[in-house]
Amino acid sequence: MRTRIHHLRTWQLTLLFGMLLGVSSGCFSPPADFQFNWVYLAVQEQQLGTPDDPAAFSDEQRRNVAEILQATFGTPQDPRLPGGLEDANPEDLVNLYGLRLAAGPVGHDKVTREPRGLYRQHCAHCHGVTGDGMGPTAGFLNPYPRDYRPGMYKFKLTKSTQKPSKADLLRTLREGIPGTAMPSFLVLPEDELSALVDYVIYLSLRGEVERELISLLSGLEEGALLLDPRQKSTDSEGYGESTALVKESIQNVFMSWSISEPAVIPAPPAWWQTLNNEQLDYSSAEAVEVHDRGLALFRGKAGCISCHGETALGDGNVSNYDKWTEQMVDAKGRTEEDRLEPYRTTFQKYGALLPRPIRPRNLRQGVYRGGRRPIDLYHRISQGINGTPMPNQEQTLTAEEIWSLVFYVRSLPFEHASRPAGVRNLDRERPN
Amino acid sequence: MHVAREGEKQVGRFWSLLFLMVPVLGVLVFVFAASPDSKPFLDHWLPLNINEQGYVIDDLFMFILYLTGVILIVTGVVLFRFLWKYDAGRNSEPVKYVHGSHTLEIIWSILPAITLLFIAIYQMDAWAEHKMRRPLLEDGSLKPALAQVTARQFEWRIRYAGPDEQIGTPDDIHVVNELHVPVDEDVVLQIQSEDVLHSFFLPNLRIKQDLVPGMRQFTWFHANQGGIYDLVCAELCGWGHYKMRGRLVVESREDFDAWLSEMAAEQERTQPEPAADGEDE
Repeated sequence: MRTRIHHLRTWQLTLLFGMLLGVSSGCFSPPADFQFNWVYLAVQEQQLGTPDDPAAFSDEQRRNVAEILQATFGTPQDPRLPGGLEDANPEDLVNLYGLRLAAGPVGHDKVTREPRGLYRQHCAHCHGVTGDGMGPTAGFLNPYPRDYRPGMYKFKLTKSTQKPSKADLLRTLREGIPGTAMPSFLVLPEDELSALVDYVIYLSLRGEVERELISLLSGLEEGALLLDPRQKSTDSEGYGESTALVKESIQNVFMSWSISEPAVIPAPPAWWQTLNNEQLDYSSAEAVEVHDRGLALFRGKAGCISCHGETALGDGNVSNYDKWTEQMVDAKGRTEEDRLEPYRTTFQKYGALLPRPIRPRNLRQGVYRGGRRPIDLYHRISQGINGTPMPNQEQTLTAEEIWSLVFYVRSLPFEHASRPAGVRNLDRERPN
Repeated sequence: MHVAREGEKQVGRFWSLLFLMVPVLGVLVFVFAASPDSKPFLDHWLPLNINEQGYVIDDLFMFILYLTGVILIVTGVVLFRFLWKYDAGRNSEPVKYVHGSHTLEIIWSILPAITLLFIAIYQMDAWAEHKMRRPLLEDGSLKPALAQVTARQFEWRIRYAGPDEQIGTPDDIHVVNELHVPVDEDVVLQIQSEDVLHSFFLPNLRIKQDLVPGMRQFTWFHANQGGIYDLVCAELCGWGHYKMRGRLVVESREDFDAWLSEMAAEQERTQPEPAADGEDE
């Protein structure tokens, strides 16, 4: 009997020890932190020197950049917006209340019961705490999650390379991005969605400022700091100049977000309304006429076939890289391994995901990442898709031509990719 | 009374009391959960049923719950009785070896077999109601699906058949995570998965159907109460399984038609929304 009780005690002690271990590992895990943009630092080093013999910024310089960044934008637990900008008010762009809901660890405010940590709850496992698109699940996805740091967004209704509006980002959250791993967050309450939009913009602003500051390093003397606190007493004038330079970079980033405006979308021509109704029949004479006009543009003037392929199956040029990855590959390489050489030698060690060529869309699947509305498709053709090889065609194509292309593209999922001559006989009736 | 005096020997009878707690607490949990205003258990019983055919599932559930409940109590009490009676500290008699009882073995094989067979036959009506008796049109043909619901990691893509009542045509209306259906009507849905195993679960309609990629299935119901309910995935489908929730909106035919044509108009949008709206609803 005594041994049995003895065993019981050992067992209880083990359990207790295990629980303590579990609790303590939770308590002592370090708070989440923003990751430094090593890839961009390495790119700048290569540009300053040569790719084979890159320059090297010192650890002190890098730490200096990180410190400026932290002083300006805070930490993931305690995000902050820069103050004292002359031509931009950060709070017009990013709602501080929203930032509070989205930042920090997942949970609730003890008093108000408002949610906290929405970004980490819904977004961070793919997009990463830093918004670098390198969260723990990112590597499993194709396409990879968006890296917010360059401040480039594909699906929006603003002009070509301009920033998206909040409504654009909100729409992406609500609708998701079909054909990718980005799901719809439609059932989240309104204020939580707009808090997430604010936080995404915040991460973009921070990422862009980080890039600006890193590129400022290239203009400095070797080893010099961007903002040297020691200089404050010895050379206050020089210090003032450096401060102004940093402030200007920050301000430029904020300005770029406040000047975006919606692109002009001319009303569709008269035939659009006549054709696109409930009785839409792609085999009617009128529809075939517009369809053929679109097809001619697709193969000719608009040059769509170079990437989307002759049959629009997305099988044209499939070896392009997008703006998020092109800095990590050698576009001139002949084989894939050649193209990936810079990644293997330099960028892989910084945790960057293996660059993959961007696939032109297969237009016959009826899956439209940026939305299936005519306005979305018109926009994609007219303004291009920011950060991808899809070009801006606003100047080269007329509105009428773009609407014909939209009509043609919308008809593709309902049309056979090919009708080989031999198959046509199947349509014939059996002879009596 | 004896227990307190006998020191170490009490452990045996203490354990038998713990075993007695299994049927006692087991029953209490269900009694509390089912009583309408027991505080900590509030809303932990079955959700409101709004499906005309939902009672079939509920009846089956309750029947099996009572059956297994009775068995739980009986076995729990018998187990307790043996533990209590034959506590080693209170029995000095040596253990008797019993080879077994043929009669008893036959009884405890045949009784469960009959019970299982009974359940197998009893549930056939529920199965048929939900899997075989698809609603018909007036002319006796199968009612076509109102919409196609495609589960994918981690959302519900919904494609309404539109005016021509056919899925896969240019007039289809595409929405995501928001399933609207008319109230007081037979609704047929075509459900499928695009990638991995999912499960289409409408708790208030007592509909739960696993979705196997490559398999096209139909499900149907007759909702009799408007409102907003849950649409969730009931099969662990990946790391974002918890994100996979949508809304089921049950509304009058007029509201449903109005909503659908609003969605259709939005899908045909060629001009930006007026700026005055700001962020749209």
